[in-house]
Amino acid sequence: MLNNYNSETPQIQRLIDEFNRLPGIGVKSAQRLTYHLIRMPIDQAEDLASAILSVKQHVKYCSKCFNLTDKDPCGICLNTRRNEKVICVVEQALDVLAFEKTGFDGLYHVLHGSISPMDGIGPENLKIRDLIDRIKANNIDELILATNPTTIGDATSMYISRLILDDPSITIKITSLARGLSVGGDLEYADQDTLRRALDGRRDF
Amino acid sequence: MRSRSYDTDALVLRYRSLNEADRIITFYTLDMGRITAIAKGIRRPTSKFGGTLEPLNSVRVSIARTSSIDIIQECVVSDAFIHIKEDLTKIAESIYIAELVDAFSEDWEPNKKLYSLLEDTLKVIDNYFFSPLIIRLFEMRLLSYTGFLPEFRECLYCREPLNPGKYLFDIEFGGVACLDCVNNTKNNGILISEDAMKLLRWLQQSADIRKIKSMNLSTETLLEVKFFMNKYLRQLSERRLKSVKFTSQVDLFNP
Repeated sequence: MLNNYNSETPQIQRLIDEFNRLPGIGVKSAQRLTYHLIRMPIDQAEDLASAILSVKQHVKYCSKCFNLTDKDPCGICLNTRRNEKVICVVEQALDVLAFEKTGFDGLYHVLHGSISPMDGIGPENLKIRDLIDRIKANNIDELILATNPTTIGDATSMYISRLILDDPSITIKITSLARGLSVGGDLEYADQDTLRRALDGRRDF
Repeated sequence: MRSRSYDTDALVLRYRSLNEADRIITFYTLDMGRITAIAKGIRRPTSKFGGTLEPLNSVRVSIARTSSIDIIQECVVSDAFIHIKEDLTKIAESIYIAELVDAFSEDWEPNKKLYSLLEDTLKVIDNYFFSPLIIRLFEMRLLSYTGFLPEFRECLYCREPLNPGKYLFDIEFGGVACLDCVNNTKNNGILISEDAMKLLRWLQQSADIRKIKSMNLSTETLLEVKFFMNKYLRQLSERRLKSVKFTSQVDLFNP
């Protein structure tokens, strides 16, 4: 770290250093956050500190769907009003939040990443084996592969579907999300792959 | 004075996410070799970049110079290689050859032959067919274009022609040693069989991509040459080629 950025007060410097370790936060942002916190009322600062501790102490992975939860199994897996015959496979726990806003009423399976060969992240680093075991142990009708619409997201979905298709003991319907133009997007900026898929997936008006 | 922006043909080798919605993209370009630049806001669904900067895409990009990392202004896809992206084996192998180019290139050092090799190989895999031999041929040509072509004809040490039989490849010096020299030099290289050596020589000297489809080789020979290439490339690049493992995992689906 650059010396001229160091604060005279060790307490302040310690907090700046801690913020600086977070993703996307450089020295300048870390300083701004620290000085903002110093001006903050003590009770707000205590709330923030206890929220951070509470997350670290109580949040864990659900043993069924691997979503983040404070109780195991998680609220979604325990909810009997949900359709437990349908599992939506997503890359990140944040994707679950996005789907929950749509009113989707099935269950989830969080992979915690996507296959990324150049970074050395293979199927064994994700919750893929757990997914196959879960499908075998439960009576599931449909698996929705909802990985990101990227090359490696697609590769992850293809890998999972190949595993399932190669296993004669599993019979399940595998689907993937529709691909095409995003709402609020601009047609002129659409790339040929997206536009082609949007054309392929066109429907009666 | 250098201009404030530049346009170039490029192949997307890889990316990594940065901040909330950005990505740092590594390109292999025709005119400038390997370069990296940042795509602002690309992870938002409404980004003007859309899927244009996906790995393996062939693109035309405009990039603005800045005092730190350059910023991508515009990107148009020339070829998205869509048939590669619909096939798991083709994706895995194409990502592997992209990683090889990344490992064997330097920033701002153009190598037009290497660029064309990568582009042409992706085109063949996309439009015509895939065979592991296409990848082996890619590896051999990459070695040739980056100055690491191995010696398979004469002994590395005494320069005498090699007798048929088993060959010992000295991985450090990039060539085969004859049995006399092996005994004298405590060479601990890779043993290569007669069939594998035939294939390696063919790849090096007379390979014609159009003949690959009709070639009939044993699985053992193919695996031996794959193993040899991987070991030699790893030694030269001084790093573990991470995507090799995934190609083997995908191979399990194709008995």
